[in-house]
Amino acid sequence: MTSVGRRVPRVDAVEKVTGSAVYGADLALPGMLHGAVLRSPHAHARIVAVDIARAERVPGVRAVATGRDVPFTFGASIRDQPFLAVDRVRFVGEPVVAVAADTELQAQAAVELVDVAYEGLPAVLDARSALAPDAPLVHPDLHAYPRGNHEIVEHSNVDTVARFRHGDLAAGFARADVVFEDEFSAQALSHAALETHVAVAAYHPASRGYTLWTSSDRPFQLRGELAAALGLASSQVRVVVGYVGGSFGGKNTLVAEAVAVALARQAPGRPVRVELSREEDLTASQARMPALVRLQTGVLRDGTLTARRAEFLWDGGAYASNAVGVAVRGPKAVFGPYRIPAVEYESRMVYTNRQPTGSYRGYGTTQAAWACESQMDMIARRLGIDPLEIRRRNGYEDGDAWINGQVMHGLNAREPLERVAAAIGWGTVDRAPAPHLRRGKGLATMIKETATPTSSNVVLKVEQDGRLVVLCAAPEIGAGQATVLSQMAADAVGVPLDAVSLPPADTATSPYNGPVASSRTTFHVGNAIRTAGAEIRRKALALAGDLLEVDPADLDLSEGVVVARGVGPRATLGELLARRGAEGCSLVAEARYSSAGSPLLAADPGLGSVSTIFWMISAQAAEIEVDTETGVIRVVRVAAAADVGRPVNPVGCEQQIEGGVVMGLSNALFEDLVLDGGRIANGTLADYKVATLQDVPEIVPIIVESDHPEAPFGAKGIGEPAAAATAPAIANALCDAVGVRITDLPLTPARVLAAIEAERAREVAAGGSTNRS
Amino acid sequence: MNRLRPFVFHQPTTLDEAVRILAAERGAARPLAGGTDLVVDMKLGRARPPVVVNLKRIRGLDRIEPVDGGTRIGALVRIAAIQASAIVRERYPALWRASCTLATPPIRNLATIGGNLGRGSPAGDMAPPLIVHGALVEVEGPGGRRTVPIQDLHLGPGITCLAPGEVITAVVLPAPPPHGGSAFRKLGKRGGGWDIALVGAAAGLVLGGDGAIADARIALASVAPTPFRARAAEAALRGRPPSEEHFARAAGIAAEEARPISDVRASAAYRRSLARVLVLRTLRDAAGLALDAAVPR
Ligand SMILES: Cc1cc2nc3c(=O)[nH]c(=O)nc-3n(C[C@H](O)[C@H](O)[C@H](O)COP(=O)(O)OP(=O)(O)OC[C@H]3O[C@@H](n4cnc5c(N)ncnc54)[C@H](O)[C@@H]3O)c2cc1C
Repeated sequence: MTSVGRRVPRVDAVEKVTGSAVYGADLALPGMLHGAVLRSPHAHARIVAVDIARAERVPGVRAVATGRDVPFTFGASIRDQPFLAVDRVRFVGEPVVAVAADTELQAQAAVELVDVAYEGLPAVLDARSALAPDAPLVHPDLHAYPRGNHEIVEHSNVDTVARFRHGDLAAGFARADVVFEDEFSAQALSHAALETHVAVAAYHPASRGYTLWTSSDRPFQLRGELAAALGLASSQVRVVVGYVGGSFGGKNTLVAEAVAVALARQAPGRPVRVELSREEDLTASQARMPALVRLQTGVLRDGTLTARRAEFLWDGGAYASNAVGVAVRGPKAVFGPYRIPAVEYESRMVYTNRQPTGSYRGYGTTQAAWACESQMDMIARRLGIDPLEIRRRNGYEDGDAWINGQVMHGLNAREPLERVAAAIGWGTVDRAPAPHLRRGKGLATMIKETATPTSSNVVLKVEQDGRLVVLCAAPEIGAGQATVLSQMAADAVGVPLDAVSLPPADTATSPYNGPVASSRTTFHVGNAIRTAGAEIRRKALALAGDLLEVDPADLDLSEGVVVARGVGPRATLGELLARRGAEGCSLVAEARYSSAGSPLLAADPGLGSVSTIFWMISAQAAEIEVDTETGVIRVVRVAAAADVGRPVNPVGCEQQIEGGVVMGLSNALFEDLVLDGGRIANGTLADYKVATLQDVPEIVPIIVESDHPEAPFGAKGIGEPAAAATAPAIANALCDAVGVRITDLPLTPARVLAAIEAERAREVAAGGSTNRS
Repeated sequence: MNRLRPFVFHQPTTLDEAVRILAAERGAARPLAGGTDLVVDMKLGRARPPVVVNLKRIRGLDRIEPVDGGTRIGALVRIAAIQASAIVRERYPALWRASCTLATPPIRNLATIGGNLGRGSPAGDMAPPLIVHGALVEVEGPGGRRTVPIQDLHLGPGITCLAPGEVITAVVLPAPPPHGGSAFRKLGKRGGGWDIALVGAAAGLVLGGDGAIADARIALASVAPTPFRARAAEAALRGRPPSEEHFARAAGIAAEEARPISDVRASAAYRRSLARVLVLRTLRDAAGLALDAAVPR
């Protein structure tokens, strides 16, 4: 029986349910020290003096590190971030001094005895004020930092500028009957992964190298970032990643890692562990980037889109971190899964004095889809068109050209929307159970590309007992990677699912892989597994032919058993390898998949770099109930569909869809890192509210299939598109229910109530004037 | 991670011993019950008591028992036990409702009623229903035993009238009045219960032989520095028929007399709107129960 396509339980389920799975936070090494960090109480200040004398005298303290001890900077796109602040702090919570001690308690006690004198500097606390001509500069030396080749504005706070244009904008707007211009905002969010940022670092004086055991979604990229920062060859840094307790796009740079490395340098030979508390994780790790989005959209009276121009202003926080890519690529999603003849965006990211930001499930699509899909409904309402109908009218079809002219292939563009509309009973009205309650329904859809080109390498190895080991640097971040990769490996080779294992990712032994991000793992690693699996299979059958004295062409390998055609089972893979006896034998194959050079990427001249190897389209429909007296929104039901290609594990796909809805609902209604004078005012889970099971509505997960020519076992991706449509679907349902449009997230009860009251006041005023006339 | 700072931990098995240790340490010692509040504060560094006195080894403080027609609830009774109590459910609906929405089931399994009051929080869920039920708080201290009416317990945010060494041993609820009904509702940040109150409201109504409101009590959480008794609203109801019109008027008065502040959880204006809506709804709930009780079967 094949494994791909079956509803299999997660391969890591037993380990995780019984508590034996080893996460980053579980790691304990001999001689390990524990770190603690003194963090900046100021949003922006000069460090005048640091006195560590008292801290050094605390019993158990083995090392104290200040910024001057670690004269390096890191950053995937701009090398702007010190390991520990050197002469300036740029956000409340920035690490300033770190202590390593025998116990965490000793380290924390010592940290409290460090004295730092600061001299306050004027702070930049939001994106708009960062653009002011006289705004203080968060990084006066921006122009001098080593960085990639993206555009910046020197001697300003603008650390990223990205533009994209396709088609004739002027003609598109000229042709429009109505031009809509609206502004939307999306708030700062915490990834709030169950496992906070945690790392163990060790410095090896003999090789001048480091080993980093950490909880990250990208071992190789992290290794590259750290090696570049320290001026080391990449192989001098080894990164090992076991189970990751959730990433959601948040575990991709040096957070706990930077502090652990800084301390490890001061305590050679002793591993140093640093684990962020929940409060540090909320306020001083990495947040979803707040965005202001201005959309200008030209429409014909029948709802046909003629042109769209988008302006993004991203509040990137104190360091560029991995947010640059979000500012550059994220805005593409603002054009939605719609045929628009002329499109343009201008995206600017600015430094501000708040915690650094970065990617968040969907890489900018949660912000972009919020604007796009809210405005689609605003357009539909103004023009008197059904929200489903306007989306149908503009929706992509397989074979359409995408925003860069690339021909869209391997997607099922229409079905997600149709399926969720049907599932929610679109067009029918459910009666609210009480007079102060109103019911409403809303739709939203979105499109997501994947980072292209990227590559994945795998090594497959058959052990002496016939078990199959998959070596690849694709950490299981909780989304089910280990299960789908095992399923594909099992089928590619012809062994049972429980004969497959994936050891922890280790840059010293695993071949290169891109990050577990951009919903790319199943497709890219799966492609490499498919190729390597075929080779293992050939080798296994050749070996079997040899030992059994049969022509390999007459043999088949299925469920780990070699079967001779017309004869029957002959031997298991393990038995064959055992027959090599004392001489020993293992079967190994390696393969690489890269999307570079695929003929599918052909695009209009000059726009090939925008191409994507696949698209994912998702849609959600929400039914909500609004309490018009309190402003409370209760989400009753959400139908959510995603085009995944072919599901490798349908249960896993459904779980991703359901988890995406919960996450989307949580950030639509509750979550918001509120900044108050530079400090996050709600930096504990008592006040930063994340949806709990009690808030979860009935969810109808719908898997939509399509045929992608390059997809391994037909599979594309699912992780990111699951989350972005929820917030606009709820906001659209709110408008359906009570006629108010809220363009800022989150949709808090206070905001909803204020909007309802304003609308009532407007109606009374309008009613009054009608009466007079 | 945040680690707990070292502290001296006492585990007395008698009330006398507990009081003696607490009194000897003067203000430096803190009693510990469920720990759902104190331990969180200690981890975050908001509280750093050098001495902690565990009350949970003391026997007899965890019972719900009848006394003189009323009911005595020991300080160590867990919120989950209140929720599970048939006596509370039948006789004290406001308190029972509050126990159903206080935090989450895991917290309710640890959190105690004594800790909820000892915390002195204006947002606590137990005080408003206890005010409506007319509860007395039993306190034991170095000077012996005394009884405090529940509305006199709180002096300010996080401040109670307990002297160093004094601990709450129980709350005593009188017998519920005949033809009465009570209710509790709250709204948390996530729009429902199971969360610290943005506003909580408890109401109790007693109907007279003429069908009019003989007595009304309204108490609110999170709208003032202490649990807030809306006396003007109560007065506006006395002698009136239990009608929507009078409930709406009383709710408006309660919202006016409340003194909410703006903080990271909600603005004062929004709290005031909520106070009005929740008082109106609890009055309706309470009236429903009172009318049921008044109808001869
Ligand atoms: C996630 C979460 C959600 C919460 N949600 C709510 C909620 O919805 N509603 C709500 O009201 N509260 C809530 N709380 C706060 C808290 O859990 C409750 O107030 C609980 O009832 C406290 O009781 P405890 O036994 O755990 O108190 P402890 O933490 O043991 O003690 C609390 C305080 O009271 C003192 N104390 C304890 N016992 C006594 C006594 N017998 N006499 C005098 N002083 C005493 C302690 O010294 C301490 O100062 C929540 C807490 C958490 C962590």
